[in-house]
Amino acid sequence: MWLDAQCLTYGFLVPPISSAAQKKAFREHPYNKTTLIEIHRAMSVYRSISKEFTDEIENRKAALIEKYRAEKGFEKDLLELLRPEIRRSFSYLHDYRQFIARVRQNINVVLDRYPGDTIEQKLSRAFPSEKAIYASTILMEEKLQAAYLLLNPDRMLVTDETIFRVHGLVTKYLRIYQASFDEKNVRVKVVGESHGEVKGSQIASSVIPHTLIDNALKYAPRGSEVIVEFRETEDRIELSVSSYGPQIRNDEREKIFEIFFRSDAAVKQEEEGAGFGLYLAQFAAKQLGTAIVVKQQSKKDNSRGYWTTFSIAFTRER
Amino acid sequence: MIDDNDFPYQSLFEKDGYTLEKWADVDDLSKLESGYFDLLLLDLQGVGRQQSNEQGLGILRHLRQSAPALVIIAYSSADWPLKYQEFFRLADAVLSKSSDYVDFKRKVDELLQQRFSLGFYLGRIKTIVGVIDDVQKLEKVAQDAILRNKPNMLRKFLESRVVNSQAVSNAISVVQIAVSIASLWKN
Repeated sequence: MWLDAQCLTYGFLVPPISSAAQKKAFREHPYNKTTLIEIHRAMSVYRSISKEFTDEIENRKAALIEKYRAEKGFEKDLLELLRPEIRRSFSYLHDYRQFIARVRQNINVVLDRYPGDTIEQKLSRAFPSEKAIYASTILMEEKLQAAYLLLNPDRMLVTDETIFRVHGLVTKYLRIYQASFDEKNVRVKVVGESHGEVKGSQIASSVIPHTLIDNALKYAPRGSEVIVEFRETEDRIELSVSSYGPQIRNDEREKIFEIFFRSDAAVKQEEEGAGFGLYLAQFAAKQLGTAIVVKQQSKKDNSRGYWTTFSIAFTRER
Repeated sequence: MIDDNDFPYQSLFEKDGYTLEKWADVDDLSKLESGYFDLLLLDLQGVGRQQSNEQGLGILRHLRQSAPALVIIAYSSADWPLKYQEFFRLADAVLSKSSDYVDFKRKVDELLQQRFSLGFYLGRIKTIVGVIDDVQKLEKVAQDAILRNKPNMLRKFLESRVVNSQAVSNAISVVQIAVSIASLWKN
């Protein structure tokens, strides 16, 4: 049976042998023995050729795939293919937004009893639960915005350039995430200053600090630290966000910026995560003519993971 | 305010002394066109289905033609694709539904102050007329037409410059609305 199957696989036909007499005759006939031996030999040779051939096909396939991945259209093609599925998943986007708006407006009504001309002044007097509700609506809105941009990346294209301060943008997200950092007992330290301005799409630019800070919160262990650093020269504003996190292997350094890719260690550490944050952030960076780079210390801190830094350099507006 | 959802800020606006009417849909289009309201907060989705396939966007476009002096704040919880951005330029301002009350109020106050300024109406007339050779002359004629309650001055000026009849008509209706509050500037 095994021989029959092998022969069929390799294109040979073996006549069925059913009776004992036929089997005996088949075994004893010299021609049959020879034929069987030849078939065996042919199949051995074929198997060795087949393996080389198979390896050759696999290597060529891998080379084609790498070539395609290196092409600019790769991610766009992939996104187009996936877009219907993404749309289906995010079909409730509008409803969620309505919900968030309703909660936001109602918490504003609650906060109105506190004195102050700005929401920050009113919040400073509010109960922690009221602050938490308000902060949650902002966080949810920002998360939905990221999902929206994934479906509509053209909104990140440079159509409405504005002048803005990177420091202000980063501070905004640090404030939004402060309660979440506190809950996880993660200390956030801001190092350096930046007063310079950048010209570009603010929608695109917002995605970058949002993603880096969100990821830092997600993967930073309890009780650890996140460092946000600014370095400014005449021409550039450099922003880096460093924290402990899961390992990113060398072969994953580029891939983590691909859509829906998450490093193996990240998947193990944190089950939830759609894997499009860094893709969007890198897309946004490219619209601004720059790119996000990642560095990670090779030595692991046993209890906390790997010290990882995501950084980006913006061109400073004169 | 036209919105098919609740508007919790209504109580806050009323507490702060504003007179606000809340419609769940476009109940009376002619009332919007008549200049009865100083300002309209218009939701873009879920309203105006009877009047337009484009819902709130269609109402916005219609009101820009039929009530050019009406201050309109486009109000939405959605993020709109780029192809709709042109519509938003028809509105005097765009507010997200999740904006804080203080931001809502600030924008409303800002636009209401403009609504009662001569410059607002001159600006509207210039936008309606579009490209014209002598913009400064247009401003002067429009200003005189408003302050002297002589809309025909502007009509003659525009018709002599071959401005299309719809634009002329819209410009005149702006003048007529401005005339009604011109006494504020004279005092």
